[in-house]
Amino acid sequence: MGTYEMRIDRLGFDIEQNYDTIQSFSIGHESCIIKFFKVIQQTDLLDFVRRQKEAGREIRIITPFVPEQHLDEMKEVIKSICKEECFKDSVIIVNDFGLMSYIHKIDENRKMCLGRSLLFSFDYAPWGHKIYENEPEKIQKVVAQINFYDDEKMEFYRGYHVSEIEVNLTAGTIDSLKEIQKAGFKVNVHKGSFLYGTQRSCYIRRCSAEQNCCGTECEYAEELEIEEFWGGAGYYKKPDDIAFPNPLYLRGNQIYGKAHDIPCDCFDGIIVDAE
Amino acid sequence: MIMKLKVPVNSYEAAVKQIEAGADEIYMGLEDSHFNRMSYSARAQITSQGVHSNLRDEEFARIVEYAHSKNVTVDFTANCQHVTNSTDDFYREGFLEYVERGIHLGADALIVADIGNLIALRKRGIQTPIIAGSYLSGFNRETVDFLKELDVFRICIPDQVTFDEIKAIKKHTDLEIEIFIGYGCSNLAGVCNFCHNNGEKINVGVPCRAKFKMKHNKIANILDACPDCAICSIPKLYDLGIDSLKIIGRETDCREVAEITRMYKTAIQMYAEAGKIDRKEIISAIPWWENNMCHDRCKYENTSLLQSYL
Repeated sequence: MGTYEMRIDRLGFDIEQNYDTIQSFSIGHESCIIKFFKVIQQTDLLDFVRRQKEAGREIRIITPFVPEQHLDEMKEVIKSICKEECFKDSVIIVNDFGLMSYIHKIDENRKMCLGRSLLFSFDYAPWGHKIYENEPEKIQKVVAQINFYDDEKMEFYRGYHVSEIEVNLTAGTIDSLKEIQKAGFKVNVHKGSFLYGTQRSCYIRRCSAEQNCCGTECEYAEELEIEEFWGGAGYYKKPDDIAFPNPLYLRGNQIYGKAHDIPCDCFDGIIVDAE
Repeated sequence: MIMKLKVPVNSYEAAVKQIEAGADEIYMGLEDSHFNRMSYSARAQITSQGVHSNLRDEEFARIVEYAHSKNVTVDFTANCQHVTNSTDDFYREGFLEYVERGIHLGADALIVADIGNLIALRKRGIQTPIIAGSYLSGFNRETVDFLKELDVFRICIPDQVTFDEIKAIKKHTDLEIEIFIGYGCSNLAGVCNFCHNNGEKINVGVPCRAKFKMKHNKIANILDACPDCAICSIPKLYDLGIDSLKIIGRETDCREVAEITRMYKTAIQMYAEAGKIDRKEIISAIPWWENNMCHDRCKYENTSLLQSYL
């Protein structure tokens, strides 16, 4: 039975609620660097994680991809986090190769977890099966696996002290995830959401020129339902044989849907959202 | 050194058209008998529209010979992201043999987009120069340094990086820098699961440009954050010393792509010779460009799209 990990990635995270069923908290943000900076430096959230740590819970840090314009600030913030007592033995979840490399340079024993932005499987596409159904069976099996299941990569990442991964869970990736566990890596699965895409552009900022990234509007998800596809020749109705996530959610720069309803008790960690 | 123009090729006819239009570098992949529709490159062998994106050996060799006779280099697409363990390692072995075929047929450089593949290629003793594909997410100087340690000579910077950021990266590294100038993606390379042109027979179009129903029954292409044009930025990219400008579209009609190639080549040459470009004159070559690709779709200018970047 895996442990439950809760994301603290919103400024409005409820610090008063009872979290008895949660064994670990990860603070920061998976896809937005601005939100990451705000959350990781918000006093009441930091006090909350300190109390949780004292109560024996594991505290982790979740980091996003790092645009060049934020790199220097991110390096400073990470450097100071690594020195904080509260985060002394925290696993850092990375979604950026450069940040992974940097953390390893400044704190070579720091354990890291590869985030789901750095992992891929054709089974992650909503129509994944349609992509590989025309291939020989042995090819289907390989392309549905998660791309971390590769001896070359696993050996390489061990060198960076990556000891865990976190993933979207699909039926086609389960066997490869179990093999990854056998190879000694922890596998943490997202139970709260299924990530379909991350953008550099935040839709809140895109829709409002005056947006100042106060960090609150983007806490709410916009619910979307596919209306028409777009091809080079224009828009067309979605064909019936194409499964499209419904609803789809857009929050800040992240596009996600509901997690697939698959039992995940055999994995090491189960990640849930705060909503 | 003049900034090179790198364009996709999916047939001999396409190669001739592209080189005549001004390509300095072309890129292409091979069909592979392991697959019926998928491939070891980032495009299906056959798209849902029935387009063959990759080539058979004989045609590939013919293109290489033609390209080299025109001093055009050939990059080989080995940029799949999905090489994983398999029984007897048949899949990785198939990938390595695929690359060796491309090299044997005359490819000058490899485009690779998976860390395991980068490592496996060097372990195999393959010394052909490697370009880190955009799926390797070179968003910042640290990532560029990380990829340099993996022995690449050039980085293809992902779509959603601003001019100032490219400038900082370029100043920092001695690796060659390649950037996109044509159709762009809304989602970050490597963090998009709306896969298309990968082997499916269904037509999903370009899902991030689709229309969605939102709150209050509003309908909008809300996910569309595609930067599509870099014509106005050609002078500053040229002055910065960008090594290569990449146009995508291995699955697109080669006549359409050749028009785009010619337009960008005109812009580069105009700037190289006159020190300025005439935007209006350049884009008038493609009647639909102004309405569909300009305005808020600039890749490297300070538009509202770029202001929405985190």
